[in-house]
Amino acid sequence: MNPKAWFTPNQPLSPAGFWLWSIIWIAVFILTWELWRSPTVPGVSDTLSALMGLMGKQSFYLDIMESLKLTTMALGLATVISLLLSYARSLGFVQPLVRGVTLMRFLSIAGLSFIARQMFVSGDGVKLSLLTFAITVFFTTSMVAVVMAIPQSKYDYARTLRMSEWEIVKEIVVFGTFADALEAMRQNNAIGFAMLAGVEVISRSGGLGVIMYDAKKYTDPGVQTAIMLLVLVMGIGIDYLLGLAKRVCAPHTALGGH
Amino acid sequence: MGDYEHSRGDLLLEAVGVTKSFGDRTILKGLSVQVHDVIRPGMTQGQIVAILGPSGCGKTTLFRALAGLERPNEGIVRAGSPLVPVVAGSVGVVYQNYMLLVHRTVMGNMLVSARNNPEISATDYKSRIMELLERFGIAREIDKYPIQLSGGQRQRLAIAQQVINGDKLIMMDEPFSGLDTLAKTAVCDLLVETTNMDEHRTIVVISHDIRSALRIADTVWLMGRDFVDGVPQDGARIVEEINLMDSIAWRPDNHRLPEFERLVRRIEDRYPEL
Repeated sequence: MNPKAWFTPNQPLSPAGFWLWSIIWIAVFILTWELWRSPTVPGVSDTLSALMGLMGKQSFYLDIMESLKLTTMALGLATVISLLLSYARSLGFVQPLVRGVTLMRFLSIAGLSFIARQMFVSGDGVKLSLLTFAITVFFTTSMVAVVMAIPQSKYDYARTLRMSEWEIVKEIVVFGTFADALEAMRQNNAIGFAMLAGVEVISRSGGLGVIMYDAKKYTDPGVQTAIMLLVLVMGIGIDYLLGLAKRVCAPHTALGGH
Repeated sequence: MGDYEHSRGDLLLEAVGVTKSFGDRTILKGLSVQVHDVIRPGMTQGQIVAILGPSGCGKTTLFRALAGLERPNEGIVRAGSPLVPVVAGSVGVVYQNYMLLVHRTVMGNMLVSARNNPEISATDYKSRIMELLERFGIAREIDKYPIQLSGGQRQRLAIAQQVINGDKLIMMDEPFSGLDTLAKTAVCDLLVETTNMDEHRTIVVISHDIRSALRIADTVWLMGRDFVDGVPQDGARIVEEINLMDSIAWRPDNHRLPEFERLVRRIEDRYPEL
């Protein structure tokens, strides 16, 4: 370890240094949190005891499963729709449609919930459609940027290998951006988790968001904070798994060249 | 010095009156060139043609036109036997940055290319690929990804990929760019080795590196623009064809010959007016 390097710009940080500084920053975070403690802002111990209380209830685990199922399904559906749209962009007639989908990210989810309620009878349908929509518009935007960033020389190179235009789509656009698609999936998984509680509150059909909403109604800030942290940990867990999938499915990215 | 017997055979590539403009800027103007098969009795050797010219004279545009990647506004480029108008895929192309499929291994890159060669049957893919990789000295790297290869290995793979694709004619864009002396010698050896694989194999090297190009080429085309009152005019053409077959071509260590130095100086002296 070279402590001087920690405070010098552009110096690499060793793994040991990374862990040490992670612990320091977590300690700073907890200290700051405790300093802000008030009757409306629960401290660390209040949050932990609220979490313990929740863990004693069987319905809590059902709500966790409900939220996990929702995010997984929404991410899966959004991935399929976004990738199909991004790859189909190779066809000229689809381009205006794809552009339109990317512009939909400026739509208000609150306003959309009204339409979703008219379209779906069940609350599950409402929250799944809302979350899928929210992830899809951002995911499509990310993937379109990836596809558009493929240089012309790559298409030319594929043509010199006598690939047909459909083969070029398969080899250069689909396989060639596979690692980027997994990375975009990770980023948009984060968007899904950021919106999870919001759509669950709108649909009111179970999940961690509903516990959070009820806690607010009954003025239990400890529970609210505990759920918030739990969603954060779940999101980080899924992010880790997607990172692992990227390293397994696109091993060249782990070799430092991507 | 004309002791290396040779004769010219069929036409392998020709550009006739090629003009290419982008907007109101003409890059190539009425450019015409021809590459013939060079026959050397008792030798299985293709030919290497070098297109030399200063930076910005339109070499890349010519490269793209000859490779069928850029359609000329006027004129035509034909290649093959019999000659047919070039389209993308008619000739092999090796880019300056040795473009490869980064998501595929060495074997994967070769398989993708081999599958588009109608002359190789599916049962022969792997044996033909291994044979070629052995010859290019990268057979031990078959399971590696391009990112794991050195610059030289990437270049070898890029050429091997075009060879397995069935291309007799391979265009190379600035193959000596950014290399040190030793690496340039290795590239020269590699290109000669590639042409030795097939009598009809032809490599067209586009470069601004006079010395490296002269070491391996049998024909040099000097590319440049016309000057009027010291001002370069739009539209480059081939201003001179230098036949090296009767002088320094194919001679071992030809770069040590006095004639080599004379040619280098002559071309260098012409560069300011190209």
